[in-house]
Amino acid sequence: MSMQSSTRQIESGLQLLTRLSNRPSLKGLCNVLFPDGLLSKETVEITGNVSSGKTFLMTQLLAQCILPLEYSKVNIGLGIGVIFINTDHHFMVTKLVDLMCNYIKSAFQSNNQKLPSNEEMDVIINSSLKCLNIINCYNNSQFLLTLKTLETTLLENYNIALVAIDSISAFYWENRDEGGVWAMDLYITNLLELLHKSVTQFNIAVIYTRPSNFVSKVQDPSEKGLKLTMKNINYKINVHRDEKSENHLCTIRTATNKTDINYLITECGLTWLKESKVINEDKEN
Amino acid sequence: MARLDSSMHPKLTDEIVLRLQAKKIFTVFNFMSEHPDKLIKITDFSYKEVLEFKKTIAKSFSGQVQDAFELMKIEYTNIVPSGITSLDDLLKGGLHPGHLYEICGVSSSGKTQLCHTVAANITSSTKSYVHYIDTKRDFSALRIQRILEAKKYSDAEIGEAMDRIKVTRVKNVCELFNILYHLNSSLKTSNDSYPTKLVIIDSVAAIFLQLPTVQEMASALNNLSNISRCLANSFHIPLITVNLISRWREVDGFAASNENPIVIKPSLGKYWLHVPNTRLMIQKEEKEFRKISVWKSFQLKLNSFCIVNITTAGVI
Repeated sequence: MSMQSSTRQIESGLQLLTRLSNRPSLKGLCNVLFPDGLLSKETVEITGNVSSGKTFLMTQLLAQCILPLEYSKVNIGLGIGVIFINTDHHFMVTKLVDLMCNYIKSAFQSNNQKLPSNEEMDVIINSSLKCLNIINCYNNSQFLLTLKTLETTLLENYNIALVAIDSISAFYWENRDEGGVWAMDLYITNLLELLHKSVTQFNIAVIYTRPSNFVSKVQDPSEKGLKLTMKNINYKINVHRDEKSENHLCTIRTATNKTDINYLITECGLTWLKESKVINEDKEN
Repeated sequence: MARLDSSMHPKLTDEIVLRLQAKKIFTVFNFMSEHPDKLIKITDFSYKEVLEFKKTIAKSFSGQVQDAFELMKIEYTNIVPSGITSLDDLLKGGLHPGHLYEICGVSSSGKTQLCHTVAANITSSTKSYVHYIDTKRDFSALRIQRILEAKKYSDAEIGEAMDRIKVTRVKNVCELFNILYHLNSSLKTSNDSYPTKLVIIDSVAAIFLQLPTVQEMASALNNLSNISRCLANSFHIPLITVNLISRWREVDGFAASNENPIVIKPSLGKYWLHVPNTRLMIQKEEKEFRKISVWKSFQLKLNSFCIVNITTAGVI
């Protein structure tokens, strides 16, 4: 009886289907990292050592996502909403705004259009920032509950197509202290499972960062072992800064491919140098 | 992990909490994970009440949603200049709100001197409070007085400024957490006309390296980073921690060779490497000159540096 008394909207199966599946597409997001386009429901892991540009790369992707699809007939960004779960608190909105300004300028320049005025820039940026839902987490239970209750935010906002986390491992030691699992890889797998469970019925992509030294000690170094860890992850992106040579190398792994790209960190974000090699691992085997 | 208790909701009585506990539902997370039907059975709540209660829990215990536009304004307007010109240039205007800064250096490289100067500069120029948490009993009021005297403040002004630097001496990790939690709750109720602009922990290494195992240290550091980030972001203030550095030469077996270069790392282990927003390294140059360089940052150019001089008037 109590079931019926609750206020629930009745909708047809078709309505339900469109409501759940009709989320904007991520196609066109960074075609260097995702040459075939990032699909909804896919998961991306960004790893890297200290100051290799993990958060910067994340900020760059967020900027592309939230910028409008079009402004005075110039194609700028993707115009999608994002949930950003901030656990490391390295992210800065001012940096995001700087990157967004760069994107807008280069979009107008490459279309040979007159740059928008400062007021117009402010309008574009302020309306884009409305698409960014930042959730600050300061401890393990907040983080877990946030992952658990994402559904609410997703239901309220049909424009959201991406959940981003920087970083996923922030509360490992606190969790372990409270009796959680010890194996670092298993910890991540469990969190991803929890996350996927709450977003599974929505077509949502997930991007998260993880320090490259945050891995289980005992690891299966073979290719088979690596493929196993790819179970829930579609793209593994490793950014690496060599402290001695100051070389930056980005390695992108999918289930079948491995691509190495050198990059530079500039004011405009991570700048990709030419693609060095694509190895198709299936052929090798 | 937050445990269920009767203060969370008027309908959640002690008796219901006990009934939930009997079914192994102890924390709010356990509660949120259970199917509503099972919860209805245990609590005798109606379906609507269960959903409403879940909503209340989600609101108060999950992460807080921030407005990006507001955050942008906060980031632009709450930058605190350290008062050391070359350092402010290096840091793009000064200490940024919500950031954890770490100053690393070997012993006697000037870490504490830098903290004293920044504390004195900020409290005198902004008329606001600075909390100085001293773990090594190194804080010197006399040093602060000398720095302020060199700035030609009157005796009364010096007295007031020194009164605004709140020093807490802590001996161990527990005492450090006590004061940080206390700050977190007292800043909420503090009067806005004299805000707190900076928290300094000098030094983190001194008390955390006392902990017996690597695991205990990592867990404690995780708690430290949680509470520090919460403090820094809720009140839009920067926080400075001081850390040591360790020097290692990788050797194969016992054969030490000079071929392997010395690796310099911040102490406190792998976990802490990624925690501070900006890590600065301070190194001794000739005479009393010091080089401050950016070691880790998302915001600043790596390895950019400035040169400062340690004088009786503080670090300039």
